[in-house]
Amino acid sequence: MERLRTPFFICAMVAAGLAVLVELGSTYLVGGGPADPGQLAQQVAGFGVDVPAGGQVGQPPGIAIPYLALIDVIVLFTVALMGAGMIVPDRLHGRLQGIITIIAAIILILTALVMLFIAIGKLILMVTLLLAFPFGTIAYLIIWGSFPRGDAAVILSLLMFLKLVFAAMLVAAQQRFIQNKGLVALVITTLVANVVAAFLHGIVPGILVSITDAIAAIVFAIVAIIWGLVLAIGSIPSIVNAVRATAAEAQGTAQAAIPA
Amino acid sequence: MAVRIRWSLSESNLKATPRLPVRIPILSRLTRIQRILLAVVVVIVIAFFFAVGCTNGGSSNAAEPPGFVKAIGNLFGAPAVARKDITAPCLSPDGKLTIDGSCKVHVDAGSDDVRELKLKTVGAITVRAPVPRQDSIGEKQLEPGEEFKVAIDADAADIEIICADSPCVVSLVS
Repeated sequence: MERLRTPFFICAMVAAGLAVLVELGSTYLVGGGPADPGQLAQQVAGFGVDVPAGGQVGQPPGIAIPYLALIDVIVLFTVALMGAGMIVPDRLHGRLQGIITIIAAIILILTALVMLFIAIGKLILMVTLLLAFPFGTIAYLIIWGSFPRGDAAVILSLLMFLKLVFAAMLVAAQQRFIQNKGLVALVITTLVANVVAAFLHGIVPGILVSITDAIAAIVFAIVAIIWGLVLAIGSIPSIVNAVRATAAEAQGTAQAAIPA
Repeated sequence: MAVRIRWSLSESNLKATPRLPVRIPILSRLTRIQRILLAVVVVIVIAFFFAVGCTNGGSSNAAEPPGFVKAIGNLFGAPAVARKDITAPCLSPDGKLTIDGSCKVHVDAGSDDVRELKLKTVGAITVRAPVPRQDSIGEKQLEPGEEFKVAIDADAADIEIICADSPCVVSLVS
């Protein structure tokens, strides 16, 4: 009961890693293809505007799913840190854990901040174009009006499956993981983030999905920043303990070196 | 010697087996916290299926976006094109375009992703302008007295205004 079942733990790590890879690679899987020009023509016909045909209408890849990686990378990092305990000696692992966590948290916060501003900029651009009727609206419809909601739903379903596999494998590896409140909260956050993305993709009519997709991305970036702060603050006691232990050890070594 | 079997059940036999509560094998082994977490995961999965399955299939009119889009637009609206960036042979210093036939208004490149040039026409006109971030040119016919916004991206743009009945006057709305 107390032992960590390594095969299940490795499966959990693989599932978390795959989820992050799918999210990062989703820009190649979602969108990119040609969109149905009929929908655009139907919309533009109602504007009383003439736009010469021939322009390529594409499907935008969306940004919410890649932004999910900001949250899931925390899950992967946490599990990888636990997994490192199997390879690295306990003493070294205990001392390095805090330092590695705070460095990773700072990198995460900075990355999420940059990505947050990119997402806000994209949202503002989309909204201003949509509201600048009619030429801006036409530009919005050409660039972002044909969000591939079906493709995104497939990717989100795959991610949900991988995350559920991850959670199940983690519990199968060691039931005491459930007692780790931080880990449980992190897993619930990533699952809820998936639901939020699916919900925001589905709540509005097709031409507005790109806007709610950007809103989802902003939410994920903010959640990642909050988790980054939690990680950074949580790592401080571990760093203090590591420093104290190292200092005590150094003092002990120095005293031992002094001849009686 | 024949054995006689008694088929009748005595009262004590009926009372012998107490009723056990229905137990689901897996659930009964879980602790309270595990049951709560399992319930949370089930709720999340059901919510996900609803979110994926119940999509809004309705068609929206892009000319009339919903309130939340307008609210975001009000917060971060596109800036107007600076007057110094506008040049046109028909432009007078008071910001009026007096057009005989047609006039080409040039807008210099700017730093903003999207800018707006607001026009108000006295007579009927046709406006030809590049669609932002696209190679195509859009054309819109305007009625007398109509106010109109031309969206322009960061690149320079030429907007052609053609009078239906020459001469016509178009004002730049700041």
